[in-house]
Amino acid sequence: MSQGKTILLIDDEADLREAIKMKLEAEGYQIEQAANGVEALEHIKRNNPDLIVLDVMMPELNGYQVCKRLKEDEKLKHIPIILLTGRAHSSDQFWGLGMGANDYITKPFEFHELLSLIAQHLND
Amino acid sequence: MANLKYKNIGQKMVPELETLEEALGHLETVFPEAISVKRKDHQNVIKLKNNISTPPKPKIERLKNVITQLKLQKEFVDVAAHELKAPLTIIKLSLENFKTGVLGPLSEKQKKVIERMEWNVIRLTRLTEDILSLARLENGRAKIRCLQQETAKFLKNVISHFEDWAERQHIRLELKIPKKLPLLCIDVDLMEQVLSNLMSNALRYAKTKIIVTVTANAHEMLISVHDDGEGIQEEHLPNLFQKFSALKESSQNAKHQSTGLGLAICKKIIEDIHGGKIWAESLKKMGAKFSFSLPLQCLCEK
Repeated sequence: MSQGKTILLIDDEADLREAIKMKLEAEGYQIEQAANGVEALEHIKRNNPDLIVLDVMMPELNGYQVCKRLKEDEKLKHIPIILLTGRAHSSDQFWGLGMGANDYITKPFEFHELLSLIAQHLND
Repeated sequence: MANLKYKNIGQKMVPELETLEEALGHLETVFPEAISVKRKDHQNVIKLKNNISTPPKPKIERLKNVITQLKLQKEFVDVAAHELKAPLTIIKLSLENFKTGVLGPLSEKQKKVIERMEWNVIRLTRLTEDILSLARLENGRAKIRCLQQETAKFLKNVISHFEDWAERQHIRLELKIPKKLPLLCIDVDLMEQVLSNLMSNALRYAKTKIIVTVTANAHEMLISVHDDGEGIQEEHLPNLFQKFSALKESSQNAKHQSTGLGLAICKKIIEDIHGGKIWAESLKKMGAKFSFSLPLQCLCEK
């Protein structure tokens, strides 16, 4: 069941966060947002979300770096991470997964693709 | 010693810079709005190239600049990919929110408009992807990995993706693949792009059937995709593989419209990367036939 599960959306594009939030809320998820990697790391330590949707291309701390830090943290490494990537190169995806991400999705994607990944990693 | 080293490295870079110069020219064509920015870079590249071919007072610093420039240009495509895909994703997902009723119920008329917008977002997405993959192929940014493939298995797999589309249009797919075929050494992703392109073109024009034929001799393999549509007028044949030369299609819905870059991409992949040849034939009332040959000896790793 998606009810009550909290997802943290990390993306520097507010419009994208808003579009994803609308759909995921309609599906019954609780959505929290962060606009950059630094903000995200603080948020995660405080609120311990059930799943993280993380954009790769962000200023300062990019998605790979956020991913690496989370997966190195014993208390946080269990949280599933889905990377949003703009590139279709398989090596970039390997790199993302190498940093410990649990899955990735390439922009532009469709909701059903994102929803099925979320459900899969939340064991819904 | 330092001079000689500089000269040697410089010489190695000249062809790279020439490719870059050419790629920049192409980028100017595909991103007209970026011309003013690009033109400056373009001139810098030409300047650097001239400096390198006739080294005046060689300085390592200058070489470093060249490398930085090169890296920046190569990164341009990746940055462009991100910058173009972000807004597309937002529009696409927002339309989906409308269509699926997340934002409240819609009338039939409103749904139709949303659908039309969605198709055109798909079209714009495909165009973006085609422009970027062409730019990657042209500036050598595409990652190429050649693998030995079982020809029949590879072809059948790609063609199977088109079965549903063909069935919906009542078009029969005929495969004429000999039982014994040599292995092919190809980049699977790129070759799939070629076949998919030819198959979707054929599906756009075919009336009742598409025939895919494979033959091989000791040196090369020949693969052709033949539809039974109206065919192509002879005067269009020579320009087909140029960018944006696609024939204006009459009232196809945007969902299946071609981007005008598909055949240019095919040519790059077949001829520049795999060392083959691609061409088109059309016989009056006999439909269009696109064929390509691939050398059996792997040319990928030159």
